[in-house]
Amino acid sequence: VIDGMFVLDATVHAFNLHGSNVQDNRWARDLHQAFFDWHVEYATPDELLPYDLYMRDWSAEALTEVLFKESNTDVGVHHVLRMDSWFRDGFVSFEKNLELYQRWPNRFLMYLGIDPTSEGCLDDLRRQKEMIPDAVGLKIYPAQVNPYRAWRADDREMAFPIFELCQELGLKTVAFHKSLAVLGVPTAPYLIDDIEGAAMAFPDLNFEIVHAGTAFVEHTAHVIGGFANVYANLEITSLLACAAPRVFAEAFAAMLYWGGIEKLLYATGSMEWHSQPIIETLATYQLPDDLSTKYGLSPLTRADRELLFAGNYARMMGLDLDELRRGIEGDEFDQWQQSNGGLAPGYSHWRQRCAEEPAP
Amino acid sequence: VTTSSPPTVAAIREALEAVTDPCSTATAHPVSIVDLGLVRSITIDDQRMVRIDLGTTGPSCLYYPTIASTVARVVSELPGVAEVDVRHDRSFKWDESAMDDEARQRRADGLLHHATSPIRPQQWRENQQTPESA
Repeated sequence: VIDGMFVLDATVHAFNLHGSNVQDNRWARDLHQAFFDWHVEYATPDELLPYDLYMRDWSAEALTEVLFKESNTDVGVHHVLRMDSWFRDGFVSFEKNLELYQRWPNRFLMYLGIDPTSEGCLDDLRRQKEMIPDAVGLKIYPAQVNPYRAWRADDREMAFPIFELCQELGLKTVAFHKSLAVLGVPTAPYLIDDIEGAAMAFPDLNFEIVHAGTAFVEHTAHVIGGFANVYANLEITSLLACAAPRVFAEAFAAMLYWGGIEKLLYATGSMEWHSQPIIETLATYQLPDDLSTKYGLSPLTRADRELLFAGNYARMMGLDLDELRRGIEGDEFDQWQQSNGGLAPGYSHWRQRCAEEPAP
Repeated sequence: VTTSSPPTVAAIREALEAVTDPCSTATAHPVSIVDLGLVRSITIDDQRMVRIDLGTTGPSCLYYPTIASTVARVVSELPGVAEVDVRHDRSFKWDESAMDDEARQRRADGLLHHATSPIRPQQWRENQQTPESA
């Protein structure tokens, strides 16, 4: 909670950045290094970790500390990542999802993950849902490497059976990694032009454009403006409010104008960067005057921020925010914050863990 | 014989503001024939006979008969008009300079918007059922 506003982060994950997790291909090696480079490039000074602390296998428990002892995050949506051709365990394993679900069911909403280019991905999804019956969404990537292969969300043969299965299993949303092209591969799969076909064909399923506005801003804005069931998930986009304010402002203004505040979902991608500087920035954020004038936008109100931080996600998924709030009242993190007089410094728990457990 | 006051050029011109050019209407940005500069002259004789000379935007305009009959109907419905004579001014060569300045700007803005905006802002609010309301 920040200033009384409930904070629901629509994308969090505990990466496995350990060198032993990297697949033996050049795309994987480049991407692995790039994660650290991006962390250095965009991290706020107090939340910058050195290589030997950052490039480790982050545990599920470490993620809870970053979110709930060091930031105002109340609930996180944890994504299983199936970047199987880059990372041996996919990057964020199903086992971490399962641990979070079993140990802190009131603190996390769970997204399952599959690689649609792999045979048996539908069975894979069924198995995951059996083990996490309360899972609410699916996270997917539009391409894999080694060999390179891509697919489109409007592909009737490849994509639509996945969406049909989502509906059958009661998953309410599909989160697409979009906009940010993974290194050294064609950009086309990261365009937004396939989302409309999927959204039209499955009006009862929600679609999240993850990293919305980090590229292809105009098209993204038009798609969330045109389709009731398409939302902009601001993972990494929101970081730019701290790290590249003008880039963020231009994307945010366009999405606000075309889509409306109701179509924007607060997300950080924590633990990749720390959530707290992002939360604090957005809690008081206003667009620069020239962009407000350009689009004829009114200043953001408290009601707008409440929608951004949690209200939109709750509405999209049919969740009761009061119920979520009651679910975490007095839990171990709530108690910890009360007994410690507030939040700990960013990544302080992870630094402590790393000091106790030298890198393997 | 009518008993009302004779029509004025201003009243006729005002009535013709409501007659739009069919081609502009087809592009979703209707412009009146007055603003387009197609009403070349309006004269009223002492018998309250109204003569209107109309130009067209191109020599092969297929819509001239439609425009002319609409003009005749609209003007004949005005009080004090005895008869209407609409003629095609074939000597007139239309270009954009014939347009009213404000109308020209409005149309340019409209066409630009039309060209760059396949959807309206927040169109999703208008008629789509959201999953949560389904």
